[in-house]
Order: sequence, then structure tokens, then C-alpha cells
Amino acid sequence: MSQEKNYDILVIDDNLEQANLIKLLLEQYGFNAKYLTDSSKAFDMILKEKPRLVILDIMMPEVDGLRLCKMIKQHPDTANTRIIIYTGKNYESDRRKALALGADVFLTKPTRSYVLLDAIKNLLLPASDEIYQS
Amino acid sequence: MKYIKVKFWGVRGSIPTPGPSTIRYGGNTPCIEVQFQDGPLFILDAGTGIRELGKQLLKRNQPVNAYIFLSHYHWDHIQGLPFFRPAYQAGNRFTIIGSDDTNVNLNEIISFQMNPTYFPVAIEDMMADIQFRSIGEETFEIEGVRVQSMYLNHPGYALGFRFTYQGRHLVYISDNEPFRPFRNPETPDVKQVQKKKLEEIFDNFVENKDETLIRFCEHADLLIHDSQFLPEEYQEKITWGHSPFDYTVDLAVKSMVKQLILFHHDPLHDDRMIDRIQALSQQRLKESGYAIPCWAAQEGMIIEI
Repeated sequence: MSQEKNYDILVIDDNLEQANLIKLLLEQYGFNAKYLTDSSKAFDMILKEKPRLVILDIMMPEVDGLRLCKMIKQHPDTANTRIIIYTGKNYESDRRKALALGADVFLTKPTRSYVLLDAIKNLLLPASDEIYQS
Repeated sequence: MKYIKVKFWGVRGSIPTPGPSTIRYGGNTPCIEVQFQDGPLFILDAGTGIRELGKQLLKRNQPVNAYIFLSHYHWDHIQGLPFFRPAYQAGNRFTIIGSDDTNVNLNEIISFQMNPTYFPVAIEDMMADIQFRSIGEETFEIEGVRVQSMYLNHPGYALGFRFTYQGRHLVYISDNEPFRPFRNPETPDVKQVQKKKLEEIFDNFVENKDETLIRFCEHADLLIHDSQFLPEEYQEKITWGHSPFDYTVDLAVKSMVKQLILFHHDPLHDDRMIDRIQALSQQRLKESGYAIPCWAAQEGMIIEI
């Protein structure tokens, strides 16, 4: 992808190492990414900064990812935000719930980096763009 | 020092299993009575075991004031509540504590169970004073007992609880699966991130939630933990949300707990199989050099810590 494009992605995960790792990976592929480990501040940040895509963990102590997903999708100013749930919970019932709440993609940890990058590419980039140009 | 008295009224997972082959350990689904000396009464989960507990509480001929902690709302943890007779008696008081779900709150979850389609008596017919307290992962205090809660690895929102009273610690984790059953536990050092290929680190990164769980259980005087499966059964039932006994034993060792109770017995396991899981768990503890008391939970069992 061309570097001048600014695809804001917000990573919300209470595990600092995980959040930072996703951010670093996305930056390596030219995305403009931020992370937040305190999910209680997440919705305000999303309202203010309007990232195009949010990557959400589910199990977080303050506000869990599914509740955040619901809040994002229900608010008119953020309803168009793309959402990837990225969770250690490998349960079909959680996947169904996440998709019913409006999440675009449900990925379970750990996954391969190309799976996450493909999902982001599909959600954010026109079909002709190529994100694997390094 | 004051004690915490723990009595098991239901120890079976998933579904009640009455019958001659389960008569020793019992077939009722989870319910544990926890009485803090000179302190409050807690009831952990409302499986079918709570029915007998209710009968016992009524025999005491005193108003009942208790806090009912619901780990989650799968049937085996709530199905006894409509049959809990003290809840129908005016003058009693119950606070039901548990997590909201994404689309329904705690009050609605419990009320729906008593919708006329499922049960002929409505929750409004419960004449006791019933309060609801929605919690997440947090720490709070009830009548001198510090309560900590933690989300577990189980479908939906299942909570584990750690209770601390007068320097004693009780941890209750009814339904939980190893957090990382698919990978080896090597966590890469992200500080080295510039020196390695990022993709490789990402692909091998596994969030170390088990460490959080070990800290949650650390030094407990009594750990009650899911140990539903044999290791070979677990291999066929990964993502069912339950633990093999070897994981539970290892958690007890790493957390340095003082006593372990194996809980949430599989409905397919008869008494002899539970005997075997108990013996294998004791053996594993012995081999680890940390031979703490370890028993399979049994209906009627009482432990004081």
C-alpha cells in the first residue's frame, strides 16, 4: 500500500505485550496504529479519534470487548467503524455473539500474522491495493 | 483465628446424574455453602444442590440473609434457583451476584429462567427481598469479606471468585479450561522485537493468562477447581470450557495452595472413575514434591479453613 494513506487502527487489549506487538506489526505494514490497554477509556477515544478499524480483545477487566463492540455499533457517530475481535476465547458461542453484535471478523489467538493482515486488508483497502509491499 | 466453613451441596457438572453409579460423590449440579464465622453466608452457584441447602436453611427457623454468587448462567449453575424455598419466604434477604451478559443484565437472566414457558412460578412470587448486583472483574467487600473476581476461559462470561476473610483465602473456579491448550508456553520477549522478524514473534505469541490465574489462586487455603476430564478425554474436548485434572493439579502446585478440591465432575463419570481421578491427582501432587491434601468434591463434604 502507499505509505501516504492514513489508515487509523486502534488496538484495545489489556495485555500490554500483545497490544504492542499488534501495533508494531501493523506499523511495519504501513498502517497507523495505536493501542490502549485500559478498555474503560476506549469508547471515548473511539468517539474522539474515529479510527477506521478497531481490534478488540474480549476478556478485559474494565469493559469487555463484546460490550465495546455493541457500544461502537449502536452509536451513530461510530457505527461505521470496522471491528475485528481478536480473542483467546475459542468458542463458537462467542463468535456467533460477536458477529451478531456487528463485528466484521472474529479471530482467535494465536493466529498467523498474515491472517490478521488479510482481514484488515479486506476491511480497509480497495481490492486492487496491496499491503504486502515492504 | 476465625474459620470459613465450606459445605458441598452439588458437585456435578453439566447435568444432574442421579443413580446408583454416582451415589457416593452425588449427582446434584454445583452449589456450595460458605459460612464465614461471625460473618456472612455465601452460596456459590445455584445448581440443583441448592434445593437441599434451602431445606436445611428453613429448618434453622431463622431469617436467612445470604449472598448468592453465580459463576455464570449455564443451566447447571442456575437450575436449582426456582426450587430454593427460602427465596419464597418473606423476611429473608438474598443478593444475587454475577456478571451481566452482553445483551441482558443479571436481573433479566434470572427472571427469564422463570418465564411461564419454562416454569409456572414467576420471580415476582419470590417473597424474600431479592437484590441483584452485577459485577465484572473487580474487587469489593461484603460484610468483612474481600471478594475478587476474574473472567475464566469458558464460553460466555464465567467468573472465578477469591474470598478473603480474617487472613484465610478460598478460591472457587467451577468452570475453566487451560488458557493456552494449543501452543507451547514460550512467550517471546517483545523487547527483542527489533532483533527478530516481527511476524515470527507474532505467530508464536501466546498471551500468558495462565500467569494471571496462578496469581489469582496464589497461597489459597482452599482451591476448588474444575477437573472434569482425564487428559486423554480433554484432547477430544478442547474448547468445551473444562479442565483435565493434570492441569488443575499443576495450577495448585504453581499457586502453592494448601488444599485442592477437584470439582465439576463429568456426568459420564461414575464413582469409580472419580476415585481414579482423585488417586491420579494425589499421585501427581506427590510426584511434584508438593503433596497437599487433595480430594474429589463429594456431596455433604464439609471443609473448614
